[in-house]
Amino acid sequence: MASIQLKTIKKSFGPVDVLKGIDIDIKDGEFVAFVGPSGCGKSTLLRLIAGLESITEGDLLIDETRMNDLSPKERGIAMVFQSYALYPHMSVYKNMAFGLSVAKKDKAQIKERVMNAARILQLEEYLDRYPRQLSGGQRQRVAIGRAIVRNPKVFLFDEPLSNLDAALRADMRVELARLHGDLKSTMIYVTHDQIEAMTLADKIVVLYDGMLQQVGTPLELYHQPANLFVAGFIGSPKMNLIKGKVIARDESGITLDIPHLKLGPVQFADAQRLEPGDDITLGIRPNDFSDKGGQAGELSGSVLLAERLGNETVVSIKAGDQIWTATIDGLNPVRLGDEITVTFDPQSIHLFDKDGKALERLNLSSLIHETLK
Amino acid sequence: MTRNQSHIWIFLAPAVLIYSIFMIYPLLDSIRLSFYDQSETGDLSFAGLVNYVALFGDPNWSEPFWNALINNFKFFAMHMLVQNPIGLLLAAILSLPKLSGRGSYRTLIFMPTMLSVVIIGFIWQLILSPLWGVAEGLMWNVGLGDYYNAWLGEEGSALITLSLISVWQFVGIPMMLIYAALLNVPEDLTEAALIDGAGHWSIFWRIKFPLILPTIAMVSILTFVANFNAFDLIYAVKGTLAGPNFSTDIMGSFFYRTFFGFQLQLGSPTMGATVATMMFLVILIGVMGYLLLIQRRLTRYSL
Repeated sequence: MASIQLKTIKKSFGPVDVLKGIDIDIKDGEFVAFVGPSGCGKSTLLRLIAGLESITEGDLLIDETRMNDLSPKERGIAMVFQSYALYPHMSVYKNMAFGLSVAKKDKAQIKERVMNAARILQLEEYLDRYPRQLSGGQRQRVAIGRAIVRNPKVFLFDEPLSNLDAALRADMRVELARLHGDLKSTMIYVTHDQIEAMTLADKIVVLYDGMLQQVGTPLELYHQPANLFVAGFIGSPKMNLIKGKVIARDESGITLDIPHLKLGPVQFADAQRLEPGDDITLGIRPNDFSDKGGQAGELSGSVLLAERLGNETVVSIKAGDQIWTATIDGLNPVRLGDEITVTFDPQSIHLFDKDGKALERLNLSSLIHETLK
Repeated sequence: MTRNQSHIWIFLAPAVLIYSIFMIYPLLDSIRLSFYDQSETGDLSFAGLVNYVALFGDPNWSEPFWNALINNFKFFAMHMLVQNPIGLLLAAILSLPKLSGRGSYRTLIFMPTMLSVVIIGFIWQLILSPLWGVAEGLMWNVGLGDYYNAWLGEEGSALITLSLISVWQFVGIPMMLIYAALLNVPEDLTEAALIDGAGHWSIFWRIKFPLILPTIAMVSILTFVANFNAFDLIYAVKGTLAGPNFSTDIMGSFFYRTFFGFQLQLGSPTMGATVATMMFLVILIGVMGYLLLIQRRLTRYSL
């Protein structure tokens, strides 16, 4: 049980600045996911917290205590590696007991804690096996078991599921969620898979280019991405991001010039930041489009590609020289080259100013507002 | 099936032929020779186990034989106790992440291995010489002059000194092999152990060492074979007499004297073949013992 504070953490490898000042506040018992594309510094950040890399600048606090200069074992953390990093010459039991036996705990206590972890992870019948005799999912569970037995204040996961196949990954995701529910420890989870982040995390930290892009709950990130990067990164299929201009601003809202898009004035909480003539980027999630009609916003174009997924069809629509993505009804018989008109609720759009910063949306549904608080 | 087998033999033939002519035939022929006796005119006649009876029964033969064999085991023990631990230590130091100048150390330590044994023997003989060697002067400079002795000339220390010269020359080989094995241990494992709370000492002994054990076993058996075939260093430093008073005599030098003769004795090809066969047997027993008792129990872990 521990809270973690990162205060303007910086990390450089020689002349290369990998992390450029990261501030994060993690509450006790929270499940936090670090996401971002490869090379964004998320793994480095995790290794800084673990104590495997030194912190160039800034403070790392665990339970209000500065940890910068302490060794990994003094930090009270446990880490699960992407490669599992099981000791190949030790049985499952010994792998899990290693940390305790290094700490010179007595045999009975070690046994009790290992058996307990084995029970939680359903590893009891594998205790005498060696890592090479286990499947990927079992190895992963042993790696988690090795973390559990030490009863750490903080669990760190470095892309723990990326070596597993899709079905197993979904199972392990459920198990991790259950584990977090049972143990109620603080957990930090690094992943490049946004589905893992969205489903598991209480709070998601989006990193890009060594900088913090946004910290928030999964729904906050989805419905109110702070900038263009987060908007494009969270959500699948990717949000449509189309450049345009502000034509006018009055009491009825902002009027935008977006080629081939029919859209009335739109309202944003901080609309007064924009002036007529400003460059903006408009964002619409593909699943905010519909082929059923009856909504005020409209987009027409020719179908460039139709990917039929069954429950829905993802179409690429070419309008002028812009290509839009929209998800429509799975049974829509649309074919390549057909003209199509899709509609959307004007309130569902996102707007980003010329620096890529999002405008604050109004009218997020009360349900989302509940979750956001 | 028949066609299959014939092409297998055609592909195997060159290697089998060369190996048979240059390895198997000479080996079998020297074993055969050990069962013959040579008359004064040079004629060979089959004599059964006479040579072996002489080697073990006649004190003129058995005393130098046992002396050489025991010396050889001492020679081997020195390598196992000094060369391989130092090789391990150097490899561990070389694999420290924060070491700078790694490449230079590696090359410098490996350098003597590439020099001729004759040159090594000669250089060390000069260094250690009580008359013109630099060893005594150097030791006086650091205040250890009182401890200087003519180590190569003393019966009690000559063999150990020669062993240490050999260790100095060849320590690079175990170092390189173990260093390569250490590099193969994934960094994730050491990091996982670090997080588990292990210090560097226990990471080395409890994680890395078990994983490089197969390499250490291999280094040991290579050392064994090389030591029991050793000859050149003794010959370069001490000549055929392996003095003082045969205290540095090992199987190789004993065989050389027996086969080619020396100041006090004519050479005898048949007795030489007998000694060579005994060398072969000692190495064979050692290697078989290693394969059957040790290697079977070692597991190589895929890392």
